[in-house]
Amino acid sequence: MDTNQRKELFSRAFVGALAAQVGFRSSIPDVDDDSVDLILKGRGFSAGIRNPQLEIQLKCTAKNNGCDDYFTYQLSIKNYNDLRGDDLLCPRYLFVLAVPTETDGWLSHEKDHTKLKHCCYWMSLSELPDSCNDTTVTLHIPKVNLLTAESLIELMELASIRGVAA
Amino acid sequence: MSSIIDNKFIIEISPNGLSDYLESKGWIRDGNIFEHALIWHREEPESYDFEVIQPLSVDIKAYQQRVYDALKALAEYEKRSLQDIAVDITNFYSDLVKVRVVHDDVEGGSIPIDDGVLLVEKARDLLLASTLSTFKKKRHFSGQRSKDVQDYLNQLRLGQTEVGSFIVNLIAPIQFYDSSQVDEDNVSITRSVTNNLSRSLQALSNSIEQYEKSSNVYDFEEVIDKGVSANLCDALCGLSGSNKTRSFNIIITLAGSESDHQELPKQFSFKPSKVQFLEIASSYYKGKYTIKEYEAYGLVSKMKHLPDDEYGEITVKSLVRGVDKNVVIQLPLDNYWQAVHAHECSHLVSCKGVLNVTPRSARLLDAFNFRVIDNTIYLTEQT
Repeated sequence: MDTNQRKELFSRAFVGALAAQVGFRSSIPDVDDDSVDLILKGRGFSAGIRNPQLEIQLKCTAKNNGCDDYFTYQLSIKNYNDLRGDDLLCPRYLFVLAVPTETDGWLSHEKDHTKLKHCCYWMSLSELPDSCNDTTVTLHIPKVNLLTAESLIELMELASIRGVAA
Repeated sequence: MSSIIDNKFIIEISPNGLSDYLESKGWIRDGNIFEHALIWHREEPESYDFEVIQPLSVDIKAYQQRVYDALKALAEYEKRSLQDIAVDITNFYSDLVKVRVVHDDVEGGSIPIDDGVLLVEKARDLLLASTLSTFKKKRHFSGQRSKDVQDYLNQLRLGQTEVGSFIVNLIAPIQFYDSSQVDEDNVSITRSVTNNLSRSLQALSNSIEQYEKSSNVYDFEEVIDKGVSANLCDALCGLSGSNKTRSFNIIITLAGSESDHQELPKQFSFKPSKVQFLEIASSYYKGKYTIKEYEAYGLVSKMKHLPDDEYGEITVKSLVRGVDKNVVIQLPLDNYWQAVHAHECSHLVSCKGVLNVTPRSARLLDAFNFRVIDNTIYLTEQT
């Protein structure tokens, strides 16, 4: 299996594990969509939308670019445009999982726990402007947007009140 | 529940169709997502978790996936397959008549081409027969159709065929238009036709059961008032294929857009063994039938005997189903001469046998027990 396929599987597994932890259903879209890899679905919320959904574009990279505050990622212009816009019923997010270059380093197993490297960042592109770029757009993802159980719940809660995290 | 569904079902689902379906099933509007979607919930507390997000336009991003989501939510709530729900929504404004043919040679979802053509033609004839008898009850329809009937037929549609043996779908959009000729008030012409089909198929099935026990063609007489006709029987015969070897089912699904409280049966099955009875019923309605035990009784009106023949033919005016018919009877010569004498004396005659009736003639076959009834005593007493 080539590295890109491994990255895809690893990022799905990462998000799937988080979804399992917080009790969200994780599924692949029924209808082909180049920009949605995963759908996360909550249930039994008490806000306007009781069963909110998040549509996720998953990326996995070994290039740990950026600075202390931002993680930079080059996204194709097609994905960029597909993740933007206000005509979406489900909020869409970009999840970027940063991993070590060597696959051996992705997971390390200890006696009483397993360590997973490195971490995943989330970003909403809904309010980003049009881009004149032809191929890619460089995104600066705030490193505070760390994907954790808590932040995933927050994103879902926002979806349930029809909001999108900035 | 199936999670796999052909995208063609999704594409055919319109925002309005989905909205009307939800409303008809008791879902309540409970908010919106900007101008893009409506949120639907159930009123029952135990159904709190069920939710449908209904897109308001086909132009929103990921419209098909959102429809898919809505169908999945409905499938979960209704405990039915996605496909069944998609079909119901697509046909929300139409009654649906599904003809399913069952046989080894159609298992793979294909059918010999000639039988395929026949199937579609007879499926159309089925609805034509039902339409005709909705406007007027008659044993056999022929000639020009009325404008009301033609208008109705013009809006019928042939849906996509389905695998599952071989299935033909006939779609009848619900239409209301002025007509004082239909049986039922306050229902669409479409529903009148569909209900008439249901009643007539039920009545026909019952009359076939009766006929199997009695061998009496009169069992088919009383169901004319229920919409059974020769045309309906012929259409049904055709659905069994050119060799008349296939079973077939007729399944009626009513449009969700028009309520119906009649609770008529919606599924009918016909086995190949029943086709012979459909043919008998059809012939009967066309005036061609046989009465196995018949006694001709009346005055001799005609006699015919050729010199070389060892028999003679007489015609007796006799009542058949309440109508005077000229019944032709072939007799051995001794009976024939008795009949000639009876004619000269204006005596009545009687003879038993199998009566074979066509629209233009009636003939008593296997004649026996010929008798001349001397009615002079009776006439004298009358005087």
